Amino acid sequence: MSKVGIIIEREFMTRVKNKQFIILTLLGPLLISLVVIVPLLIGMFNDDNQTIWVDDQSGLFVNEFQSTTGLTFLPLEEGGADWQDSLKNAENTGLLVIPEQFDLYSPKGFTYYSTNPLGVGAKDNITSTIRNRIEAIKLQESGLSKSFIDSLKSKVQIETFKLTETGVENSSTNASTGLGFAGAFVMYIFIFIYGTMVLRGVVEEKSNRIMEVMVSSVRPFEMMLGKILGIAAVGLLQFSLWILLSFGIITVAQAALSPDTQQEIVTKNAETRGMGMLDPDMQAEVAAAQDNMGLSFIDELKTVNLPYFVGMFLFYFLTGYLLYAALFAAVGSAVDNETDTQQLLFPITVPIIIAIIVAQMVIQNPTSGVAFWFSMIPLTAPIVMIVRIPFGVPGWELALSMVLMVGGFLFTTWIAARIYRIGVLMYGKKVSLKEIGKWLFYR
Amino acid sequence: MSNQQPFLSVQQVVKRYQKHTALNGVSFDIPKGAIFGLLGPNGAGKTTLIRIINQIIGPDEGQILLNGQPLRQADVRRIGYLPEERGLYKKMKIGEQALYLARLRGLTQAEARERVKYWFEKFEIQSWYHKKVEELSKGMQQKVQFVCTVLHRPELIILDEPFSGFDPINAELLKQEILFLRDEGATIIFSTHRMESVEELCERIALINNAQVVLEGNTRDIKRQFSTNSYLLRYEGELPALGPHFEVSKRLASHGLNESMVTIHQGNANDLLQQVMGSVTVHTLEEQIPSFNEIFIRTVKNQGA
Repeated sequence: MSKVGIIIEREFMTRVKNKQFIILTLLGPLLISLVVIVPLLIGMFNDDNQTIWVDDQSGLFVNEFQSTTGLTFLPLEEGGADWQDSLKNAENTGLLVIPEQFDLYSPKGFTYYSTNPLGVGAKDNITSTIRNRIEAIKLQESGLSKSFIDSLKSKVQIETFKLTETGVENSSTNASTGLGFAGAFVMYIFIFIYGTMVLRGVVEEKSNRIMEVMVSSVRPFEMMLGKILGIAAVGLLQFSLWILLSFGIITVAQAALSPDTQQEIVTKNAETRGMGMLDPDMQAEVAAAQDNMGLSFIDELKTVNLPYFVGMFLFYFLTGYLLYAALFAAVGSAVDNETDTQQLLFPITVPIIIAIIVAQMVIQNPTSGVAFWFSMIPLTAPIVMIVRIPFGVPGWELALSMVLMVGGFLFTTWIAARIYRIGVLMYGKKVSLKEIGKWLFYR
Repeated sequence: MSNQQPFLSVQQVVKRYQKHTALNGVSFDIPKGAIFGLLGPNGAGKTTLIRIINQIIGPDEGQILLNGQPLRQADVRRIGYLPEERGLYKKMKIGEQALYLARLRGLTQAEARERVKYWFEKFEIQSWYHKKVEELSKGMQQKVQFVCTVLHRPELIILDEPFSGFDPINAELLKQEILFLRDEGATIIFSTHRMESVEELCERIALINNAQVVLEGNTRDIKRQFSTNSYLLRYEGELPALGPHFEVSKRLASHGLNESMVTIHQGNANDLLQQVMGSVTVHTLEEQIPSFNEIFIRTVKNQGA
């Protein structure tokens, strides 16, 4: 096996066998799954039927409260003097009291009595019913009909189509935005996590003084390359395990929960799920799992070419990671311990942060000049380009950006190797950026 | 192979850094199978030279020949290097670490395993195999590091301050191992400040000061070169006047004996004896040989002046 191979093996094995890695690899999917499963579970435990007696003293709300699944409204019979006692003994039962008189323009005095607190869903139901009724009364008073008011509200929906060589495809801005931004965010996190891992590894070697033993048997460049590639393998493994495990857990959990509740919960869930919460592949998994639910967002997702997106994501993740990992390694080589890295890390973190800021602008306008230029500069391209890809990027732009990416990481690796070679043997000196610049020209 | 050809030949090596010259035309030869002392005060350029021999850095001028051939990257596996600043991965098991380093120096997995076993048994450290470095004392770590240096049977072994951190018992063990490796045919470069170990072990030395070799050669020859021709004479009776060839400084009398330090400017110890034999009873006559410590200090000071 080549020396780089031996180093890759060690870097990979020591990290994969590490407790921290194992815990994180298991916890990650659990957290991702929780986002999906918790609402399902809440649905499970909430399906006890709740009965609410309505004491409508005003008489304005007759038949206004509509019973739904899990929530039953009943008008209170007159003269229930002992209602307090009966409420105390009844589970999942409450009493809603609507006062005889209240000001329509500042309605107050609605009360609810129960042994257990009112759930959010039930409360929303009650307040919106009351609000709608009061609005209707006001409309009546003003002489306008409800149908007239309804006709004033306009609902506009734009159906978007993407022109391709084969014809017209249904495309979706929502899905593209979600996918692009989730991809960029995951890219950003990954570059930071694994870049820092490289940095730590190099600092460890230097502060433990193992570097000098190593550089007598291996060229510094081989050492750096082995470390970067070994950690890349760790990253890819962790990433794949997260996706597989999350998918597994979610599938099992969904199968375990009854199909009836699933339908309605998942719909709700899809509404509340934040765009950036899940990575694109996860969303795809969820999409697959919920295939039969007929969710509009999932339908939209289908209009995006997922394998193409995943392929591009992997390309930009790998080249972007390689580009930044080399720089992180260079910084690690220049310092004696981790606390000294702050100042030197600054010039590396700035472009990553700029990229994530630009990504938010690019989402608004994926074909702008800003979008073009920042997806060409290799330092920002991995994050910015991944935002653009779901919206469709011209072939030549993509090709150019990919070539620049490869050139970019070769260039940073070359630079980093020159810094690393000097830095790893330099002890006891706090170095400045200017000094590191000089190292580039050492023989 | 002829005995004439040096095993390692350092030829006119120059290395400049931005503000100073670390090595300025350094040359010396090391014969095969020798233990060679590379001496010099801190900052003299020893570490730079060792790094050049290890091809960690390249020289600005000059070259280094191994067996008459310029050093190549592949020669790395013929060299074993124990740096002064040395360490191991803290979280890695000792055995795995030794295997890893051995494989990086070109051994196959099977070879590496066998050598690790051999050396661990030799140093009686088999029981540490599954321990992590952070669980070992400094001296124990040094032992492991020495083992890692010689695992791949290098022909050239470079030891930078190998005795630091060792107690006397382990230092003796290490010394025996160094001699053993020499007898097995290895050539050893030994860089240290501990002059007594230089005297015990080294056949040849080079003293580097201010980026240059200021003293080089066979240790016995160097000693002779530095001998002051001073003798300590213990005797009974009173010394006669010895003439201009001898310089006498009387020291102290103890146990009824007199002691004088005599420096011979011309002639030898026999001449001295002949002159004094008639007048005093000689008990001992001992040549005052300078220690390497003195030679070191004297040379460096003269150079600096």
